[in-house]
Parts: sequence; structure tokens; C-alpha cells
Amino acid sequence: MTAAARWRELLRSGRRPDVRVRLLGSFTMDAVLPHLGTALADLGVVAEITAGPFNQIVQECVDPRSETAALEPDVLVVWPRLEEFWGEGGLDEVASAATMAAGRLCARLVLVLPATPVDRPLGAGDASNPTGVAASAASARERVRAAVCDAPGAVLCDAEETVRAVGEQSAYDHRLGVLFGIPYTELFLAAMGQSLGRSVALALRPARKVVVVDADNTLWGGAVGEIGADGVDLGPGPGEAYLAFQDHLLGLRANGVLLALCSKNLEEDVWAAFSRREMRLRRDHLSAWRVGWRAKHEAITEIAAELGVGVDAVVFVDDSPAELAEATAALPGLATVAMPADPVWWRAAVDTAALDRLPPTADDMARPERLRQDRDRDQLRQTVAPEIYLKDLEIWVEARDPEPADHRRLAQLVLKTNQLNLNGDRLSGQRLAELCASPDHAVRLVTVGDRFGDYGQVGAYVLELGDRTTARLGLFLLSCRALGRGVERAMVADAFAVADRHGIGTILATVEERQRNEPARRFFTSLGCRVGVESTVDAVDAPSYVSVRESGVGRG
Amino acid sequence: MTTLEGVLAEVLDLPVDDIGEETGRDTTAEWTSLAHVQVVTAVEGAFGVTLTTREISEVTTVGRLRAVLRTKGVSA
Repeated sequence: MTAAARWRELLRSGRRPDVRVRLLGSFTMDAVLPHLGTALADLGVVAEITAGPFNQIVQECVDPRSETAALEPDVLVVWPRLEEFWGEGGLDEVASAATMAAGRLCARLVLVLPATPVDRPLGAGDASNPTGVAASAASARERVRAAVCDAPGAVLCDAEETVRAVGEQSAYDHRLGVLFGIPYTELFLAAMGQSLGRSVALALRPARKVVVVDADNTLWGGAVGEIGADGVDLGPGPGEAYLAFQDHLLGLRANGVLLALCSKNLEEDVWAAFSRREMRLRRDHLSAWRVGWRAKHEAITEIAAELGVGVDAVVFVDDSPAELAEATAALPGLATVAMPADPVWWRAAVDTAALDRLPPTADDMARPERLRQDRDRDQLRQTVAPEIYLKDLEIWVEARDPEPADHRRLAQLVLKTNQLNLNGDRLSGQRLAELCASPDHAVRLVTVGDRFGDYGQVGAYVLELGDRTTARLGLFLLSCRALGRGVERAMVADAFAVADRHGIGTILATVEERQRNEPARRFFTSLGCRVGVESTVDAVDAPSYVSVRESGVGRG
Repeated sequence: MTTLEGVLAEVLDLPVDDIGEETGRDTTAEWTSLAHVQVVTAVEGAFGVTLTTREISEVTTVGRLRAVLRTKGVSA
């Protein structure tokens, strides 16, 4: 079935869209629509998609009364082609209009980084020309990449990669370009649909945090229980592919992904194989493991709980289709990757939306180390009485006004925090940047630590200063990793201190009922608030066992 | 066997019986310019032919499409 026919069926199925996507481009974007729509459906995103008028990107972006503005999209997909925006600053202008429009509309921006045009006046000589087509396109692309990467919440999708994947000869259809303003083949548009779908999903959803790997025929060749640690294949030869895959896993870990092991084996056999000299992945790279004979879905559930994430934050890699099917059937939110029978093809297997992630923040990269610190904390908790534990942790809290460099972390907190979250408002990165710059709002970013190490930037709140007699909490977020340590009380105390600097003594908050924010409701109820009703927050002091670091008296 | 009517019926989302020689861009609401692109792509794929730019602009009815296919040795 063609993408158009499938999309037609999806539209007829009466599904309820949960996200509104607007496409703007310098060619006929209606041709992209069914490909993106079906790709998003395959990724579990039910989207309502509309295409803007032909080659009107800048007009649609800058006019506050444009059709695009009236639609209030959640995601703005902008696809300029270099063929239409050739020349000094052409592409830069589109990128800047798109970034500003996304900010104004509180939409997430997915900008297509256009492919290098195919026309080369110098032919083979273009490669030797520093002002030629390839060189000019490369510098325009890199300028836009640098500018848009800085815009919080924006995601780039590289059309050049897709041209490379399908081949230039198969990508362009100049006949349809001349007649209908669709210069691409169905093959290329289908591939771009996939690629754009992944970018849109990346803009909308938090990345998965944990990769759980099987051992036999996933980390090494053969079953260690049968052939022994010395017998498993780690190369030279076919087994080398497992080492390359292990290097890939370590690359994920360096970007903040937690690695865990789930294997049906005897533990001593598994660790014996791990101590093989060739192994790149070492036991201390693992943040959790379950080795034994229980069903894998049980082991994965336990690993997720131990690491403090939901199963929907886990990717499970196994070579056995039966194990993958068993785990998926029991855990619908789980994503899986099938290690191919011939391990050299692992690269295609890991090229999946479930493993897509945006460049990590410093906080992401520190995650594996933080987990090690958590183990130390657990040891302390098991050796001292509960009332002494909190005091012995020597918790400290520092609240300050965010710098521009903090905006991405702020956006990430808004997207990821579910439990201690006042109202579940998923403000866009652009909107957050605006609030940070607004004189009518105080935004505070909260860093927490204790004697075992930093928790990182784990909390944030926004205080609307409004009429200067009362302040309102617009956002109040604390990552679950800092829950139960009095940090939220210290944050409220800080909010009162900030309000006081503006001569405001009353803070109002509306704690909303959201699916997973029971901790927020419990906390604000304890401060005199009623769920779903704007209420006055009781003034509190930070708990005595929390020390408040005073580096953060800024603009607030 | 793949028939021209079958290909058009799927692309235009119409019953096969509604497709006749006179079915075309001027007479069929479903045959939009975007659908025309899909018609051409689907016909090329189904019958293994390549149309020129001029042919694409001229095959605005089933009859004309069939005639162009015949010049390429395809009786559909």
C-alpha cells in the first residue's frame, strides 16, 4: 500500500490526534505529508498534519496573522531548499524566521538542513573551488546548524544524509519538480518521512535512559554456560563484531545512557566472560544487572525500578526473538533491538528511534557516575537510623537565576519531570528562554548535592511577579532523584525570599492533578493548597538538615 | 494481472467500476494535481515504464494514459 493510501486510512480510522504538526517548505509540502504522517504513526505519535502554502516559509513565519499562526501548531517543520535560498544569508534568514516563529507560537521547531544542490557550473572543478557550490552549501549549512542548535527545543533533520542514503540519482525527480514543484522521488520522500518522523519524535519525547543488554550472542558469540568463558567468541574473526557493538554501548554510556545486563546464566560464568582481556565492556560499566533464570520481563522491571526509571525509558537488546517477544508482550512501553544472527549487522539494528537522543547536557553525562554515588548513599541508609540518615547526608541546595547556557537543561527538566511537577505544563524551550529574560518573572534553577556527590541541576521554578502584590508559581519541578530530602521545602523557602525582594509576601499556586504527579499534590497540600484551585502557599523555612548555599542572589 | 484501472482505483481511492476512458483531471474531483503525481509514480512502478515530462503533463485522462503506455509497448 502506498503511503498516501495508508495515510488516508489512518485519517478515516477516527483516531484522536495528540499533536498538531505544521509543514512549511520551499516546494510542495503536501507531497511530504503522507510520508511523515505514516512514519509518525509507526512511532506511536498520532498527529494532525497540515502543509502550508508553496514557498511561503518566511511570510508564514513572520506574519502573526498567518494561517500557520492561526493553527497554533505543537511542532513546526520547516524545510527550505538551498536551490530556493541560494546566495548570501538566504538560508540564515529562513532559519532565524523559523526559530522566532516557533518561539512565538510555543511550538517545537524541526528544521531541515537542506542538501547540497546538484548543479555544478564547474563540474568536476567545483571540488577545487573554495567559493563553489559544495563549499558555499557546506558553510551555509554549518552556519544554520550552529545557530539553530543554540535555540532551545529546536531539532535539526539533515536532508543531505537522506540523499546520501538513497543516492543522488534516486533522490531527485526533475520532471515532477518542473510540473508540480515536487523535485523529489517517492523513494526519497519516503526516506525523508522516516527521518523527519524521528526528528519530530525527538523534539516531543524524552530520550530513553537505560539500555538493558543480553549476554550470550549479544555481547559475545556462543553460550558461556556451554562453552565456558574461554570459549565465547570475541574475535579475531566474526566475534570482533561484538567488540564493536560493545564500543557502541560505551559511546552511549559516555552520553549518559545507563547500561544494564540481563542474562539467563550462572552469575559466575557471566563474570568470568566479562573478565576476558578482550572485553571492552567491563563489569563496572554496568549500572545494574540480573543474572538468573527468571523471565526477562521480570528482570527488566526490577532493573528499571532499581535505576529509578519507568519501563518506557528502557531499550532491551537481545538476539533471541522469543525473549524479545516475551518481554514486549509483558511490558508494552519497552523498546527492543534485535541483535542479528550475524552480528556484523548490528549497526542497522541500533539505527532506531528508540535510541535517538539529543546532544547530552552536562547533567546527562554525569548520570552513570551519580548512580554509583547512589549506591554509597544506600549503604549509609542501611547502617543508620532514618532520622540520622538525612542529617548525615549533609544535603545542600543552591538556587540561582539561569544563564543562557542553562536553558537546555531547564527545557529538559520541563519535559522529563513527572512526579514533583506542579501542573505538568510542558513549556517549550523558547518560551522558557523568554521567561528567563522577562522582568515580570523570576526563574530559578536549583542545584542539589550532598557529601557523596552532586545530584546536578534537579529543580526549577518560575514565579510570576504579576501585579507586585502577589506572586504566582507558574512552574515548580523537582526531579525524582532529589525527592524526599527536603529540597522542595528549601525551594519554596527560596521562592518566598525572591518574592520578598520584590516586596511581595504572598505566593499563590494551583496544583493540578496529573497522571503521575501525586508527590506534587501531596507536597502542596501539606502547604495549605487545594488541588485544582488557586490557593495561598504557606511560607516555610528550609529544613534544618539542608544547608542553603547563597550564591544565587541575582536579578530576582 | 495489474490493470490500469486497478492502479488508478487505488491511487484515486475510487471503485474500479467508476474508472472509464474519460475519467480524468477535469472530470474527477479526486484527481488533484498531487494525485496526478501519485498516478504517474504508481503507473511507472506498476508497468516498468518512464514517462517524459511532456507525457506527464499530457496524460490527464485514462484514455491518454493508455495511449502513452501503448507507445511504450505496454497494453494495460
